[in-house]
Amino acid sequence: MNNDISVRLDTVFKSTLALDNVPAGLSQKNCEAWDSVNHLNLILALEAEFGVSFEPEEIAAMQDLDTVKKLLAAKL
Amino acid sequence: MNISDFKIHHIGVAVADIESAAAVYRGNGYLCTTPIFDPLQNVNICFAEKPDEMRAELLAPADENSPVSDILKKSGGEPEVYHICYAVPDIDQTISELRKERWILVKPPVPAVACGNARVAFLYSKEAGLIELLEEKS
Repeated sequence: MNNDISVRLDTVFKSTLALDNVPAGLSQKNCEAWDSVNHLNLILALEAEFGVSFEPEEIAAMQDLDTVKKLLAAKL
Repeated sequence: MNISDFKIHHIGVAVADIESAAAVYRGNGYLCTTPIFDPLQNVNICFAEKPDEMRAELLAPADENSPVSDILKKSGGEPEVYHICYAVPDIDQTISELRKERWILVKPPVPAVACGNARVAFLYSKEAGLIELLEEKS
């Protein structure tokens, strides 16, 4: 994942989850703001930012930053 | 496509305890179906119905892994209306059209035991929130 995409990804996370920074290892388990509703808002924001579309099983799997990066990279 | 063109089938209400919630509805003149366990959603479900009133689907989590558990955690355990269900004649076509309008498909069509195994799906938009589609063949 190149730097431009990483920056845009960080911006989506910060904006959607109201975070000051996006630490490595970020996940639904360690981020209170990443609840079930914001998870769906995050997916919508990612789709809008990167012009991609996620399937339901991908949406369910995207529970941490690393998985989001991996699934997003596969579509770019 | 405008979702308001569809007929509302029910509102979905997350509750902590299905029997306690149903008792309140019965006390207010509703007929409540026998609770049924839906393994696909991991919830216990019953419908509360009253003539000329909106049908309510009461959903209680079967365990902490149920998606309804998250809703109740966020509401502090209080009952929460969290989706509106629309009856549609062709669920696949409706999903396809809503996807073009930036709805995300949260749960693809699956048979719903509480609805006679009619297929249901869940979609979400930031503007309209969570909706359920129920396929009602004419």
